[in-house]
Amino acid sequence: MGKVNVRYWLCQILGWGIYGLTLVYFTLVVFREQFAQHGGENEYLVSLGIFLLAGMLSTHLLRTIVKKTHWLKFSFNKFLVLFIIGIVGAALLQSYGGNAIEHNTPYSFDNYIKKFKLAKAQKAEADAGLNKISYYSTAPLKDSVSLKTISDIKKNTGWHRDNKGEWKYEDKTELIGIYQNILLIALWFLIYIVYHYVEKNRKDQLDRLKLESTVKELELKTIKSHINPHFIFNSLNSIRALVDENPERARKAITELSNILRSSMQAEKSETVTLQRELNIVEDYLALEHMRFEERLKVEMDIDPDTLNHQVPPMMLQTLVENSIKHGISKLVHGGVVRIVADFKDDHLELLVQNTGQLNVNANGDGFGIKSTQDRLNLMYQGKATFAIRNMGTNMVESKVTMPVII
Amino acid sequence: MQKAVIIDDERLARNELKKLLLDFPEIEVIGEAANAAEGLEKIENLSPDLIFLDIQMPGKTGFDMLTELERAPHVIFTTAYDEYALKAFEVNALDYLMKPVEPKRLADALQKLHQAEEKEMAATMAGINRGMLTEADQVFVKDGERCWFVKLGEVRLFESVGNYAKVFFGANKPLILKSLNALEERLDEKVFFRANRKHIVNLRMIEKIEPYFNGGLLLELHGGEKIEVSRRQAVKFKEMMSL
Repeated sequence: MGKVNVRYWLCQILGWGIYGLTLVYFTLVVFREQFAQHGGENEYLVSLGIFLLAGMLSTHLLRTIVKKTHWLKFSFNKFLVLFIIGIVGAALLQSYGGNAIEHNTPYSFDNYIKKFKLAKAQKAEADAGLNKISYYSTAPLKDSVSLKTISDIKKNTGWHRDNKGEWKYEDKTELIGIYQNILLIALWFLIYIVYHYVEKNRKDQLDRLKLESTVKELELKTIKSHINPHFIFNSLNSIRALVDENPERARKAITELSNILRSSMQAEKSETVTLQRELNIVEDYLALEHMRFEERLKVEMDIDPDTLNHQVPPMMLQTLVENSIKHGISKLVHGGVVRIVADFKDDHLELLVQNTGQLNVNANGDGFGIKSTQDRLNLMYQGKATFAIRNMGTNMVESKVTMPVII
Repeated sequence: MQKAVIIDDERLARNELKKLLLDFPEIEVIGEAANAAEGLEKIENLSPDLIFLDIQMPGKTGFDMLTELERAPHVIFTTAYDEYALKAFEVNALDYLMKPVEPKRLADALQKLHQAEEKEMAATMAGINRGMLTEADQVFVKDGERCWFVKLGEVRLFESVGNYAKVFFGANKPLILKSLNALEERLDEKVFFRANRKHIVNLRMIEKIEPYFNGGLLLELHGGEKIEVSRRQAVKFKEMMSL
């Protein structure tokens, strides 16, 4: 609030300034001869300056009120009423305030015009031979020719004599001036509203974009760090049993579990990892699951060595393998096979995870895994990668990810 | 000495629990099972006092297995991490252990069990007639996602709904997959009375008895349910009550 709004003041000065310059230019051109003949340029310029300043100040006051009482947040009807009151109020302020200042300066154009017109009226009166005070006070004129001359003088100059013979001035241009000011300030206000409307729209859009990108970032983080706590605690339980039964295996299992936990934490830091690294994790994971499921879990790997250096999203293959165990092998009394295939197909890298079991069409429990994998691929490859899960025959399920070789 | 069966699909998990139980000489592990089907078999054959039951198992879950039991032994659930499953234990003093099991928690769970057992002793001794379910026996009931262990003594009414029976206890009335006839055969007739074709009532839960037309009776139970006793059964009912 305390800061001066440079853009606003620039607009104010430029707006009123350009309007003023245009007026000056046209007035001086159109009335060039009159000014040359009668003078009054200085008075005109000073009065115009005061008029522009009054306009700027009254609109500034209007803006202050609009801002302080938050008009732009009102309903349309309420705003419309305030809008009309606002512009009329500001226009009246501009007119009367401006005039009050102007008439008190020695360079008032109004006063100059008034004087000029008075001279004109007096000259016309003298020319008609009607310049005697008694005509207006003690012995009023009765003939129609004289009366018409007097009324013509009044019409043309605004000046007439009252019944004491004093000159009086009636200004009909004042109302026109107020009307003009209303239009001017309405225009000012409309520009103000349009500017704020556009600005608000732009800001909203910017906010929305920012929000979207934050949401996406968060989503990525949660997807990546998603490791099944059930698996962690079951593994720890198995390791505890192995400490006596097979200490060597227990030591190895602790290393494997550490690797998985570490990579799930690091997954947040990197966008992609090599397939080699991802497979190391998957192997550790499967070794641990094999420790739990023993003969119920069989693992097959078919990896094209050329694919190993390719970049893949971290913990994605791992999630698919985890799901193949969670929804497949662990549900089967006699267990089954998990088969992992990595190969190039055309210009795509293809990753397959196949497992014994059947996809339950009605299952909603695994919805999160499928959707998050899909979302992740969309975010990273802008729709150039695909993910699908389907039944292969009656006893196998296959998840397939294809991603472009060059991102 | 209490006989226990461990049901868990992971051999290492069973071994670990067995090892922990070595510190409790009053518990004797008489069998183990790797899935629900084996578990049912072991329970039928060995009739253990206590089972340690894993919830997530291949085939059927631990909960599903329990609903198939006519008479549930004492159960201590073992699970690695399963918020969903733990939410299911809303009522009753079900106990569960988180794997890896903390020895102190195991001791607490067994302690709690002994206390419960002492309370039941009297009731069990009274109804020792073989094969009959007594008031102290509990059944495991699962209704959607909610589970209960229900003491038969707490049940006021069984209502036949097709092949199912609706079990009324407290404010709940879940369904179990058992016919009313099968239930009648196993229930203690001194407590549970077949009022008509559709209802078995707990005689200890009767609030009011009113004569009904045609020589029948109308029973009002503690829960407010009104059950009609057929004429033939009314004779039997009066006989029993006067005894």
